Amino acid sequence: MATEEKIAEDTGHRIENMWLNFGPQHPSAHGTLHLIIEVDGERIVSSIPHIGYLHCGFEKLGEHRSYNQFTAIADRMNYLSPMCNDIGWSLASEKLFDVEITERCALIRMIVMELSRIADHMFATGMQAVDIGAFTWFLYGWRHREEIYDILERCCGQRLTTSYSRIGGLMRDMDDTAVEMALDTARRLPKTLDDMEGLLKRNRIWIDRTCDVGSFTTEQALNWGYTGPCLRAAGVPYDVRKDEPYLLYNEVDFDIPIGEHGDVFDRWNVRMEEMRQSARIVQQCCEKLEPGPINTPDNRFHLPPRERLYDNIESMIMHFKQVMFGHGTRPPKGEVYCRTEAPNGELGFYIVSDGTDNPYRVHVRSPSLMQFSAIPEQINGRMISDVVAIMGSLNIIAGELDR
Amino acid sequence: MDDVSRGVNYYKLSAATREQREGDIAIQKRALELLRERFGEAILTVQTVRDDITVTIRPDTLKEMLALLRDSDELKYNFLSSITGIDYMRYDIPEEWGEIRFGVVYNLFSLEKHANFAVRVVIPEGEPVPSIYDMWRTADWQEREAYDLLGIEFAGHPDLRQLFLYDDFEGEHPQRKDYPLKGKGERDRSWLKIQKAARGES
Amino acid sequence: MGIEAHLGNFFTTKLGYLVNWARKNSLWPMPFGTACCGIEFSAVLSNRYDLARFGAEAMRFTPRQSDLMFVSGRVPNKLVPVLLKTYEMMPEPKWVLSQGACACSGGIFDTYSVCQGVDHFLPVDVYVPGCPPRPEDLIKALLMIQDLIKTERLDKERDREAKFRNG
Repeated sequence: MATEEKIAEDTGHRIENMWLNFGPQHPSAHGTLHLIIEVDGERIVSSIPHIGYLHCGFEKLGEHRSYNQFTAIADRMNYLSPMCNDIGWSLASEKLFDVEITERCALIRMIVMELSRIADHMFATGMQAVDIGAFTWFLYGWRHREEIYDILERCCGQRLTTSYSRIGGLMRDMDDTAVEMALDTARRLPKTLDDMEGLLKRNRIWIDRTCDVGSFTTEQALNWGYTGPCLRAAGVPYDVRKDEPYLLYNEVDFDIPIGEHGDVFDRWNVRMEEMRQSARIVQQCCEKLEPGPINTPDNRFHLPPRERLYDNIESMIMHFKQVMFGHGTRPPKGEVYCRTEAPNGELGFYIVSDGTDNPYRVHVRSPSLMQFSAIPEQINGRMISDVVAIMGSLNIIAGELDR
Repeated sequence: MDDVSRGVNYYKLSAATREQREGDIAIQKRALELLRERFGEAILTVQTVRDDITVTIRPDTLKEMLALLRDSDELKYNFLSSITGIDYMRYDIPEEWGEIRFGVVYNLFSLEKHANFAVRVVIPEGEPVPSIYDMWRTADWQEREAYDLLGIEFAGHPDLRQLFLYDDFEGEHPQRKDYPLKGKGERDRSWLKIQKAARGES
Repeated sequence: MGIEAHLGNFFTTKLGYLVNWARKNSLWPMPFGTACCGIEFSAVLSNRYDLARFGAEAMRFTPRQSDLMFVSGRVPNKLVPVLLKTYEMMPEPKWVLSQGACACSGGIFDTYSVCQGVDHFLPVDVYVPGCPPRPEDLIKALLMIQDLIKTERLDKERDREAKFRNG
């Protein structure tokens, strides 16, 4: 301080802190996040996050798309694990319409959701590692991600942005080969995870860069609305699959990993362990799978099979009724909120229905929004290189953040 | 009391899930009782959709109600899941709500008791809603979002400014019902009018 | 254009072949990845569909060191100034590849905040349709850009922004 005053006296110039732009075009490949940070040397004094660079008006789109059409749009929010958004939206719509799904449909939905969770965590931990400098991890993880893509492609034809589930059922059944591939992936995953962990878990550099960086206490995490791995790393055992179970999660055996310090290392560890638990769930579901129908017996929701469509006038009318604007399936009037456990946290859909075939209002509770809003509290007082580590650990997906 | 098809639904699949859900429903009913005891006339309507209770109030009792839900030992709604802003301009609202335009719904969750609850505040245009930033910091950006996209003001919010949109965005508050549905109005094609006619709107 | 304009035709043609060969086989991508297409772009760069075998090895996220900008994903209006600034920071010669339906024409997002096609602001060389396009489509697109580069002439300056200047 004395030096600064002397310089100010001698030269007449003041020394101020520098303001840096961190984003929106960003080497850390987290999408379009913008942080303006005030730095004093290498230390951060204050920061202001700016978002909205990927704001596309998803919620407004929901108002002129029917309930089944919004599945394709909901996919594009969290593009790392698209099945979870699909199925989350279908569950919310099914709650509104009061539709019961079959057991095979529930099990297949669980299988693909857990596979998506594994894929998302692979990418999230991969990006975290790349930010800190460990590129090999990212490429190891991609191999498994490609295998999961193969399974999803077998189910519905698309690798990413799948639009697989419909209200009351699924687009297409999962055939036996896909189930075997899923079982095979789930069986081989723990061994791969062991190999990958060996790269980083006891690595001196990794531990120095991640332990005690970005610690968040339990009270802070709950207050800021954290959910998912970030909240569990802070010590709160909140997982929607256990606390408000949906589908058949109550009938499979799995554990929830909880951290202690809420720092970057804990979040990484929680994600690694969750991948193992997801593999367990996939195995159990594949073993429980029995042949049967995947669509609800109620005909109002799913399109009739192609073979019957051109032969049967009732099927053709049914098809037209569901597809034409103004004539689609109508829910009762009301408002529902339904939450699911996306890989990032609690993904909730709040639907307001006015009794017509399009929703009146759709609101998406995105986990990334809460996690990014707490960034100033996490990084103030830290170094610039910690910002990268912390942002990587929160797994902020701009599509979901901005909607 | 507005009951919409109280019935078990997709929860029917698993008996254990159904048990947990019944616990949830019991806590919600207890919450409603406690609120009725203390705030009797302030509650405009109570709606139950698929066993989830939503209580509608005016903004003056909002903070006390949320404080009761959070601090009561029987309930412990300590987690704010989401804040949703809704423009009720073209919606068929119940008479008890009066002449209002907007609603803000607060979805709460109790981590200990595994129970949900929802509180809805209804306001006419221009009236501010008290900000619950001091109760839950997660309300910070969610309220800013409602302000930016719908124009609902939150009194007492430390930094109420735009979140998603930019300074020179043409028009205001795009999520309102009087903002064009597609684009900025230049992409309204004729089939949209057919859709509106089928639904009986002009 | 300096010395190339003064050499005779034979030399410029041979030199042109050499320069074009060098340029097309070492296109360093600048991924302007915003959304789902950005993830497919990451898939192209990783071990199964390896884009590095076509020379696009060094994925620099800095525009100063790259040749080919991949606009992958939806571009809202708020992001357009950032995109333009990044494009202007890239040194010549540069090419733009618009990946995905959203970058080409707005995609499924006909809303108040999405730019309906990046070609309103940037001169795009190759459009890749799809939502998201498969990695094989991206590789094909890169090969198409390589074909475009093969046909370039050394003595004539590429005037890519002409349609924006006169329009």
